[in-house]
Amino acid sequence: MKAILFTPVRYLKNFQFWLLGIAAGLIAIHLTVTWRFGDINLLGVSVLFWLAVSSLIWRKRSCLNLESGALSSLLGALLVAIVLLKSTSLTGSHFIRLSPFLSAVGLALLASGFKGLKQYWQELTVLFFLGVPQVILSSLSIDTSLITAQFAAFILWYLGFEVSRQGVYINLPGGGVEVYPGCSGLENMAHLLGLAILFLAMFPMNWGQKILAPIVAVTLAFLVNGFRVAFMTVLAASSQLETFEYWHKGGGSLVFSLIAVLLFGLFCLFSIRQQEPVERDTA
Amino acid sequence: MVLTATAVVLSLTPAATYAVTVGQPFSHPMREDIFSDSMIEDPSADVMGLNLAQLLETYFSFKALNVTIANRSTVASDLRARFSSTATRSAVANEAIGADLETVPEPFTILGTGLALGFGGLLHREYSRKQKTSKQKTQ
Repeated sequence: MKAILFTPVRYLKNFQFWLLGIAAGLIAIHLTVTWRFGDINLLGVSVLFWLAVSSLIWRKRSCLNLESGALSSLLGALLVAIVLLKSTSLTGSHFIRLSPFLSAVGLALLASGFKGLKQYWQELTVLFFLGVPQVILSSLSIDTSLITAQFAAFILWYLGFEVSRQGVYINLPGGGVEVYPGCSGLENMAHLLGLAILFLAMFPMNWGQKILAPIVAVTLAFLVNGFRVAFMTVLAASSQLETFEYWHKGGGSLVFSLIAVLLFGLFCLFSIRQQEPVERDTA
Repeated sequence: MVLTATAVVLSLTPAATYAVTVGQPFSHPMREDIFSDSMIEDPSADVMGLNLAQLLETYFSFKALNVTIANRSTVASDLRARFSSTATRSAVANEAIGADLETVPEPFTILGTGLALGFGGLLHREYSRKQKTSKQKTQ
């Protein structure tokens, strides 16, 4: 009876358990807010990334230096407080995408200070690619619609269709499509780029693979989206509205990201089988 | 692409082609019905721009409207000027159609994420196997 009463108190005095509690709370808040916001894509990716980051931290838990200064602790606590306060009144999706990285920086500062930040470079990089690139792309209004339209038109031309293109409009004799920014493939490219960074963090590769994996990820996402747009154009031209809707917004639309991830997964498997083992970075 | 992402090319004259984004994909047969010859021959920019939207609204149920011009005729230049800025285009579209523009959904990646999770397990097993084999070789 005595042991049951005093064990929690002993845990409360342990700094590591406070950190663990704060981290678990921040993850739970982020996932809940994302779920409430209705961003299913981000929710799925967030679960995956948080699992990966937790696994990376767990792997190196025994050799982490947990010493922090007053200033770094104050700054860390401030960042965590900002994330918590902002989570109560969300006005847009940008903050949901930024908050994992901000939370992680705040927690790392609380745990290990400025000098200890480099211990967490892998985890911070992974969480950076969870949402920050999309925010940057969105802020800079980068739009690859024209390139996607050009590529899709090229595919159709190569397949023997009588295709004509005017800017982002792809036309076939029976109809055509306009490639909007939402269909330009940026979301898929950012998604696969994040997965590539996650792959490199989880499985140490040589420098060649480190450069190649993100390039392959982005290229695959672009190619798959190009074929998707070409397919949509053919469906629109054949006036099959129901089929068009199914492949555009219904269950069929899920298949394209599945194909991209499948191809990239096969590339990762091939990379692991090809290369000599590299020591995991536990520092 | 959205529901409104199907462009229909209306061949008005040999020189002028209008690509109109409409709510539903359709192939267009009604050029003679919509545009009289006089309209094509004497296309005042203001009148033409407004009438084009109104006529199309009458004939089709729109969710969005965009007009692009595929050649450099006088008509095309006027219309391009009229619809070149997003603000102007939106204003014209909203005036003619009402503010009933549909937002463009991003493609869902949730299944891809699930597959990535599965691949993570497979890759982890493969990586561990590779490490083990390598250690055995060095011993």
